[in-house]
Amino acid sequence: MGIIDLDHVSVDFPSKEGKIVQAVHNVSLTVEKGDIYGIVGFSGAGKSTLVRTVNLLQKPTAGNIKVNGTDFVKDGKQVIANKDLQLARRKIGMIFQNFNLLNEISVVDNVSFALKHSGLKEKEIKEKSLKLLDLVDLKDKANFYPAQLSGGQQQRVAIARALANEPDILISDEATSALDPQNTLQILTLLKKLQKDLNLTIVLITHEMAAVKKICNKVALMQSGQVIENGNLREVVLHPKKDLTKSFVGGSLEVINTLRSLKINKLDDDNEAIYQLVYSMANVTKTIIIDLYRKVGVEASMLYGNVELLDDEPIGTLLVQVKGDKTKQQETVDYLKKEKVAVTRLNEKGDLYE
Amino acid sequence: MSSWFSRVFPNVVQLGWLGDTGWGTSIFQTLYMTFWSGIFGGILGLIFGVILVLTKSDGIRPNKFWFNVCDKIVSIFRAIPFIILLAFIAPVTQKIVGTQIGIKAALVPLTLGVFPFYARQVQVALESVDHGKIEAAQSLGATIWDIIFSVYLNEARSELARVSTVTIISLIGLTAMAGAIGAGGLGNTAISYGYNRFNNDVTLVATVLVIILIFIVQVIGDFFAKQLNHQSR
Repeated sequence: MGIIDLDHVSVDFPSKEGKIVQAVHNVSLTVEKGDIYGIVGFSGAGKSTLVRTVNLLQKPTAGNIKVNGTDFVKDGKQVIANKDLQLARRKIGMIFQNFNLLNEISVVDNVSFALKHSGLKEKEIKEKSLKLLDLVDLKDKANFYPAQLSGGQQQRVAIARALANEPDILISDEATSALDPQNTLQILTLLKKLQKDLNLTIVLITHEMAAVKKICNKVALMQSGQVIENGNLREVVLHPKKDLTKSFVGGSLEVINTLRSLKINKLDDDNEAIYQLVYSMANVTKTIIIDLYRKVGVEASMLYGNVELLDDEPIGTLLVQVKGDKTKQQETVDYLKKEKVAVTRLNEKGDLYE
Repeated sequence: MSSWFSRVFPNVVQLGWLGDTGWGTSIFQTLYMTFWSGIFGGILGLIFGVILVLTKSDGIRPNKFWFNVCDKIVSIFRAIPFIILLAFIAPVTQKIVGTQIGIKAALVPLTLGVFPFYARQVQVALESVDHGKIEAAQSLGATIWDIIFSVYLNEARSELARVSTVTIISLIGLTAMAGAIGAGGLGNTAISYGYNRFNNDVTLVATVLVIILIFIVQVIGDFFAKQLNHQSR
C-alpha cells in the first residue's frame, strides 16, 4: 500500500452535445512514500484531471482513492467529510502552472494565508512564513507583491506556500511549463532537494520528459485518459513497451523539433527509414552505426544525438536514417533489439511511423 | 460679482441656501439618499453577487435552487423602471419606514433599485478572479469564508472599486427621480423649481451641480481602483 492509492479511477465530463467525455479512464496507480513520480503525456491526456482527484479538487466518477491511509473515495463516492477533507488537503501541497498566488497581498502574506488555521499565533505565523521564504531563497522579497517577481520567483513563493503546513505530499501540476529553461532547472533542483530534506513524496505532472528524467524515480505515461505504461524510470526509458513511450523517452519534443527543422523529404518507405535509438551507454557498444554497417550491411546516417544522465547512468539517444530494402530494415531492427537498444521507427516529421 | 450672478440667475438666488427649497438642503438630500441607499444597496448587492458566484453550476457551492432564486430576484428588480418601482413598492415602504413619502421613504425604493444593478456588477467582478486562485486556496485547505473574503473579494477589490463607482454614479441618477415622492434633492430642484416654473437658470445650476458631484465620485473611485490594484496588468 502506497501513500497515494488510485484504484480503477475514472472521471467523466458531460460534454456540450450531451455525450460523456472520459477524461480519465480506469486508472490504477500507486505512489510510494518518498517517490518522485512523474506523470507524462501530451496536453489533453488527462494528467491534470487525474492528479486533481488526489486532493479531490476533481471528484472522480468511479474508483477508490486512498491518501496517507485515509479513504477519500470508495466506488466513486466521496467518503471523507468535507471538514476532514479540508484538514487532509493541508497535508497535500500543490503548485500550479500559473503559480496562482494572491496578487493583492504581499509575498509573505501569501505564505501566511496557508497558515491561517494552523493554530499558531500571528507572530509565529509571520516567523514561520519568513522561514519558509528563506527555504526557497526569497526572504528578501517578503514584502513585495507577487506581480513584482519573476515567474521563477513566483513559483518558489508558491512552493513555500504549498509547504507551509508541512505536507507529506507535493503535487506539481505543470509547475515548470510557464518558465524558461534556466528557471525550470532551478525549480526542479529545488524540488529534488526539498524531497530529500523534508522526506516529501512528489507527484510531478509534465509534458516534458526532460523534467522527469532530471528528478523522478518513477514515471507513468498517459494517453487518452489512460496510463499506458508505468514503472521505474530507468526500466521505462530503456525498455519501453508502447510506441508512444518509445517516442517520449527519447526526449520526444527535441527529436521532433530537430527532425522538423531538417525538413527531410518524404521518405521512400520501401528503401529508407528513420529510427530513434535509446540505450544505456554502459550496456551497449558505443559504435552502433559502424556495427550496423559491419554486421547488417546497412548505411546509417546520424540526424541527432544526445547523452543524458539518469541516476548517474549515461543514457544515449540517437536518431538515424537507414537506407536498405524491407528485409534489411527488418534485420536492422532485429539486430538493435538483440543489442538491447530501444528502437522506434519515426516518419520524416518525427511522428510515430504507422 | 454677486450682483452679476443675481442678474443672470435671479431664480437661483431666490431659492436661497437653507430652508425647504434651498440649495444646501437639496444637496444634502441628494448626498443623504446616495449615501444610505448606497450602503444598504451595496450590502445587498454584495451578498447577492457573492451568492450568485458561489452557487453557479461551476461555483464552489453549486446550488441550482439558490442560484435561480437570486438570479430571478435580481433580474426582476432590474427590469422594473425605477419611476414605476417608486410607486409599485409604496406599500412595502410604508411597512418598513412608516411612511410613503419623504426622504426616508425614498431609501427603500432606491436601495431596491440599485442593488440588482450592483449585484450583477459584483458578479462579473468576482467571476474575473482566476479560477486557479480558488483551486490553490482549496488545495491549502481554506474554508469557504477564506475563499469569499481573502480570495474573491480581496483579489477583485480593484474591480469592485471600479464597479462601485459606476453604481454610485447611476445611483445619483436614481436619486434625481426620488423627488417624485417628495424626497427632495437636486433632481427635484431641477424639475419642480426649475423646469415646472420655467426657471431655466435653476435647472442649469442643478444640472451643473449633479455633474460636479458625479465628477468627484469618478475621480475618487478611479483613485481607489488604482491604489488597490497590484495585479500585473
